[in-house]
Amino acid sequence: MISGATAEALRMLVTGDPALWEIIMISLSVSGRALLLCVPPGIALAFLLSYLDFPGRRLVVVMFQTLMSIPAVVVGLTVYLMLSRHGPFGDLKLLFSQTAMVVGQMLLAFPIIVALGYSAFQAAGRRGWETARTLGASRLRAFRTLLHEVRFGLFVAFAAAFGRIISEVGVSMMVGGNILGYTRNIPTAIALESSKGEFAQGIALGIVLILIALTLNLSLHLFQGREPVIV
Amino acid sequence: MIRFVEIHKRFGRREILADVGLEIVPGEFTLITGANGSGKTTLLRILAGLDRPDRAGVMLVGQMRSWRESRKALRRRTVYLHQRPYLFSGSVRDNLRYALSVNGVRGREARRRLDAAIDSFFLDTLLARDARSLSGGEQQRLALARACLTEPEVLLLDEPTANMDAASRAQFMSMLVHSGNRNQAVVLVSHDIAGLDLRCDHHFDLHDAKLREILPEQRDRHAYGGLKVVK
Repeated sequence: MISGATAEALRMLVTGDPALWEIIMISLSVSGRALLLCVPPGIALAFLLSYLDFPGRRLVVVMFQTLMSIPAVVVGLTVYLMLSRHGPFGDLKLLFSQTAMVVGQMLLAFPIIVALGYSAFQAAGRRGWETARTLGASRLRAFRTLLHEVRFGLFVAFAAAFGRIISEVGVSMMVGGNILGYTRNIPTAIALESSKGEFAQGIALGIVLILIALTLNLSLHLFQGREPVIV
Repeated sequence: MIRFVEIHKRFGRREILADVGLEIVPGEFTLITGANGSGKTTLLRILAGLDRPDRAGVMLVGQMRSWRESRKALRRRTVYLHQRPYLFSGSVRDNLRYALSVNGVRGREARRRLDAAIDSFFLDTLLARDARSLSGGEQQRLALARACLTEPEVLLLDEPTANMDAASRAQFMSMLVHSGNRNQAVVLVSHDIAGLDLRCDHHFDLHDAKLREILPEQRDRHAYGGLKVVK
């Protein structure tokens, strides 16, 4: 059964099965939007937590580090309660939409970007920022310089966040509703097809997830190998 | 000339600087010595506008202002060198160019300054090297060259020779004395001046949160590590 399903999965991938590719594109679109929306505020907050001294700073960092491993289903439940008809945002009628999935995935990705981004900025230390500033760089230019200095750490944060949200089931299932052609993404499709005993599409989508992980890692290696130029 | 008066700084209950005053005169070389943990780095960072004192007055262009009001001007007029210099990822040449670029120095003037720095600090054979692969002494040399490229009014050096052998220290000090322009003031702090053939205009000792000037006639008796500071 497994070999037959795997052969069918490969056939679907090679022939470009439209239903399969529709699911893949929904996944990439939802998770891509969630990541893009998280990156600017996530980097800004990670930077502020690294370089600003304020009471409770360590507590905030620990909070974000803890939120990195929050179960997706808990986030899904929270967003569901917020967006359900009787919830505070029920009037927006966002439940079972891609927007709801984006919001839920943002809540999963944001702590990862902040916590890992914070570690990346910490690695450069205060000296990087102070050196740029004391040499005469404006705040904006010093920030750009620092982003360049910690680019590998930040890329790792983005890759980890994307890896988490592209493969999560809890949020997508609860607030997306697994609607074919609209909110059915890779993980929810795998869960559904497997429960029906139809493994070919699940295996094909699983292969896609593994390929996405491989692509992220390879691009990180290529990125690190490039000749650096200070900006 | 920049005059600092009544600099006060406490860390918790511990008084680091108490009513410290200092005058930085163009072209003069000021040495501040003191034991480890006596507050030398804190003082230097306050002079650079990097750390906030509890209270301080700053006389700039004939006007007495609070440190807070003077912070921007201090940052503009000074360059602070960390004890362990931060070098940006990239080559030695990239690091030198960065200092020019952030100050908007381009074209012929940039080339003139770059050539002068390469000559003065003997960097011609190191230009293509990865800045972070340099030895400790070479890194300090590069950091000093990079700082001098910005032609600051005041150069603030935090234990620049702490991790150097005697020969490297002598070479570094010789470059420092001969490379700066005539109007550039230098303030150097160190806990150990052994091996330095230092010709300072003013020598202060920071002890018990107070800055005490060591007058030329007292210097023979005020020996550090068996060597004297000679005017």
